[in-house]
Amino acid sequence: MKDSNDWKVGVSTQQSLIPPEAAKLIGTEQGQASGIVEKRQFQRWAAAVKDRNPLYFDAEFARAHGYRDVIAPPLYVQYVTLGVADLVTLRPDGTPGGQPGDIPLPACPRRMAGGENWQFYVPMYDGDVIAATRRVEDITEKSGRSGRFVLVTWLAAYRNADSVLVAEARSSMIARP
Amino acid sequence: MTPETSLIPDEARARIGSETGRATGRVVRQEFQRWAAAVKDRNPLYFDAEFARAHGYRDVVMPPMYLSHVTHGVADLDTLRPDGIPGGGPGDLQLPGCQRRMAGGENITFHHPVYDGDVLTSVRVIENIEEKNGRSGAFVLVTSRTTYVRQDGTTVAEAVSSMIARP
Repeated sequence: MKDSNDWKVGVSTQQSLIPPEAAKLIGTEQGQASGIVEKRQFQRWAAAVKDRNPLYFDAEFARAHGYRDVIAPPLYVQYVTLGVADLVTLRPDGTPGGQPGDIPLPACPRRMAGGENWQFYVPMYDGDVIAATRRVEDITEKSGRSGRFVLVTWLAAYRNADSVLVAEARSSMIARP
Repeated sequence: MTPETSLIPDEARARIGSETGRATGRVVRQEFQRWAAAVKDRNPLYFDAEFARAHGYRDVVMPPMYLSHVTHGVADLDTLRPDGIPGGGPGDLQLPGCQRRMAGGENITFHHPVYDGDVLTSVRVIENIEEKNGRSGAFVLVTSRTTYVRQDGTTVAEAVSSMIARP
């Protein structure tokens, strides 16, 4: 490989799994998206995941619990900013293809999700406009029992029209040689 | 045909002219655009506001055939029919002598374009129930008219649909 020398890190004679093109993405923002919270859509989602929490369906109940209206299910936030996709572009499991900005890790073609942690700060209501940004937080090489791998961590932030932070999600991906 | 052998019971006949369904829903751009993408109709009138304005509309317009989906509510998945759509049809009209049903067609007249944010109410009325004789025997033809009314009282579309019920 012509550029293989570029991959070397000083401390090891072993070639790094993280090429400079990937390393320079740390700290950068990958993609922005926005969308409107729509009551019928989040209620359909809640019905589909069999979560008939009255906070999502019964405005009176929600008001009695301190909200000004029914609230969106917290985990629905990640779907608010999904746009309109043609069916042929969806993955076999029906979800939209790839998160924006693939990380170039040619030495690690095997990928798997490494988990996701959510923080919810303020409730979402019908009509809220949510903007999402996604930043590459870190790309590190690790060594596990089954060998070396690369751990990519993203931080997604969801803000409403008043720029108030609604939720944050820290997610990771594991890439293996 | 004498009244004694009619396939239409009096209780059913009495429903002619009565309302059998009413529902209200908001038109949401993202929903009708997803629908348009799903039926592979990428007409720029639905997606490109500038294009739509250049053609005399004030914004992107709703795909006309999306109409009947506006007033669908929120259904639990296990209440959907096997084909994935919510149950429906002409209310609870009972025709015990005619258990076999099939759709008999639908004619929709569009009067006004529909935009994101419009709130539509659909009102379904049984227009007629009549017994017919076809080559394969007697059947009942139920005709319903669904009127779609915008929040300002304007009728934006009307749909006349028929259902065929056979013994």
